[in-house]
Amino acid sequence: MEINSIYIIKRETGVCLYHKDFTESAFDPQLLSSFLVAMTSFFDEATRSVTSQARAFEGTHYKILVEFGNWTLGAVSTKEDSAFARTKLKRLVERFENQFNVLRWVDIDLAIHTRFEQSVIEEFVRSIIHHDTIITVRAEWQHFTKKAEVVSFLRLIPSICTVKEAADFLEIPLEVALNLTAEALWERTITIENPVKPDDIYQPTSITGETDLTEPLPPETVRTIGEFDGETPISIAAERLKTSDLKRFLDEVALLEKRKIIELVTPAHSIAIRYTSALQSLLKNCANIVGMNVMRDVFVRSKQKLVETYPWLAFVSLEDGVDIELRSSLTAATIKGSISPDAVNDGFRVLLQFVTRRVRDILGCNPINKIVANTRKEIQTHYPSTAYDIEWECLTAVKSS
Amino acid sequence: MSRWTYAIATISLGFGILITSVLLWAFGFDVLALSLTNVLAPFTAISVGILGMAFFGRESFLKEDRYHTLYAWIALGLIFFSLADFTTILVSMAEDSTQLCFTIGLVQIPGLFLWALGIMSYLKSLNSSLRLTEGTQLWLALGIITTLMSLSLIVIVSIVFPMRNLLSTIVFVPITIVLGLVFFILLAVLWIFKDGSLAQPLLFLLFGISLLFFRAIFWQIEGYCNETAFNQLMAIESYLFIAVAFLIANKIGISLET
Repeated sequence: MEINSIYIIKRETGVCLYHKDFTESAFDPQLLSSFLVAMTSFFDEATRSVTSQARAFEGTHYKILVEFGNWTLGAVSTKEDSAFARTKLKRLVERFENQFNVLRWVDIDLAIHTRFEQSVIEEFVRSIIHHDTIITVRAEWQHFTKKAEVVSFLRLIPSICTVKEAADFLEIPLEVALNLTAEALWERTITIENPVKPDDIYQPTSITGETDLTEPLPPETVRTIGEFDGETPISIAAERLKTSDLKRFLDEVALLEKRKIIELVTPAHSIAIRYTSALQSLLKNCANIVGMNVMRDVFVRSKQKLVETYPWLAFVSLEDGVDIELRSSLTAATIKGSISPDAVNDGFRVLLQFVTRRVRDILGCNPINKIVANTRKEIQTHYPSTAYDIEWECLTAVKSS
Repeated sequence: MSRWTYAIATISLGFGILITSVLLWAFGFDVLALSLTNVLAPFTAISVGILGMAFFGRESFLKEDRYHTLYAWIALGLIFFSLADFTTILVSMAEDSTQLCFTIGLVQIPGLFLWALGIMSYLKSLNSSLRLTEGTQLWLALGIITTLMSLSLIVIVSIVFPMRNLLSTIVFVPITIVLGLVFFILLAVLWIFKDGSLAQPLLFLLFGISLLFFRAIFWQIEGYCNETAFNQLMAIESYLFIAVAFLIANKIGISLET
């Protein structure tokens, strides 16, 4: 989990109203809340600002991100500052203020920890659990939880299985199994591991000097490192290396990740790369029919319409023909996570919609729908797990009346 | 001026030539009508061919743009057709035209080959995007159909019209079949894109090719290289329809502005 701990603090008094530690090495909540309130007040005074200016406090191995509500401030201790984590924290603060608004005026016991638990699970735990997440039930797990649904869930499932297997085993809907896994993880009765998927995009890690090199890497594993450039999904890297055994290749990637030689790119960057592939494939397929000039024109006009709403789209351009280029400034923003995945997702989704609407006028409904279907198939081969994150149904053209 | 203004001007020119020729023929000036169409046909073909190359030549061959390539091949084909039309002028001047008639057909073949090449490349490109058929089945089917139909028609024409020159039959029958093939492929492509603006240039292209196709069918029935104004008039109208297709196709993206 990328989050170490979460704190919700009352700004006026500096009292920590809620905290949750996901690791053993968390800060003392009251100490931290006093520090954060004092520091943010100091910055506000120093800069004579009406709105609070402080955004983060940085340590050697952690960063404390701060987001402000109307009368509370939320803080998370994490490894990296990212728009993704900030969006979640902001949402959590809003939910807290809505749910416990009365605490703004009076101090009463509202059983916050029990009642707010579900919101934190939804924001920070549930999102890291997928259907193929591997669950490992901890030894002596019975000592950690008394929740009836978690106990009955863990009693029946195998000690090591995926969430999907657990759902099939218990004959319950997958969504229920995902939620139960989240609760079990919250109770620390299980550990989870997300396996490497063919869709995943890796980049060389920026961490140096921490790699355990006591055991040398196998030569075939070393050979693969060059393929992880932060833009190529594993499926394409495997094709380039002419790998016959994808499972073994995924194991090699997992080993490189474990050794901290490579790391997963941010969700925003992953979405940008996936959408770029989809957009390029769509433009290429359409250009085969109407020509490159027309498709370049369609792309530029669609982008121009959207730049006002999504300014970062100005950094998406076309190279020769219809090859999409993400300018380095946008790539840097997605890699650093300073642009949220939702913003990237929305921008590219609408751009794809605008392009398909314009091409529909040239080709008609049936051909563009066929092209969209073929593009989806192409993307599915390289992004088997995440191709459906693109809302293909929004791209389906219907005859205008 | 917009693309449609040029297109309407070209269509008006076609009507003008048609009405003039019909009037000349109606008032008994057959020779004048024939001379006029004989001269106009090759010049129209070469002019439209050059216009097409100017519009589509650069994009097609340098940038491997399949859409532009289709029209570039057709433009190049028209330049070859103009050679065939120049030959027709020679035929009209010659006493014994049997060998020259065969030559006209022979000169038309490279132009027609370029048209077929253009339409097949476009069909291939279309298939790669729409995935209408898998593998090589379509190409195999088209090749077999063209060959079998050409052979069958040569046999039928030779039996029905035993007095006709066999060499001319061997040349003109495949011309009819290939024109028919191009016509039906274009019809199918037009049907696929019937709801979109891409259908507009394709429709005019289809009109142009259909005139040549019907003229070729007419040749099979009435005999090759008849010295009539009708033959050349059909060619002129066909070339002008193709010119309209070029004018619209060149600016297909302009409709996006609205």
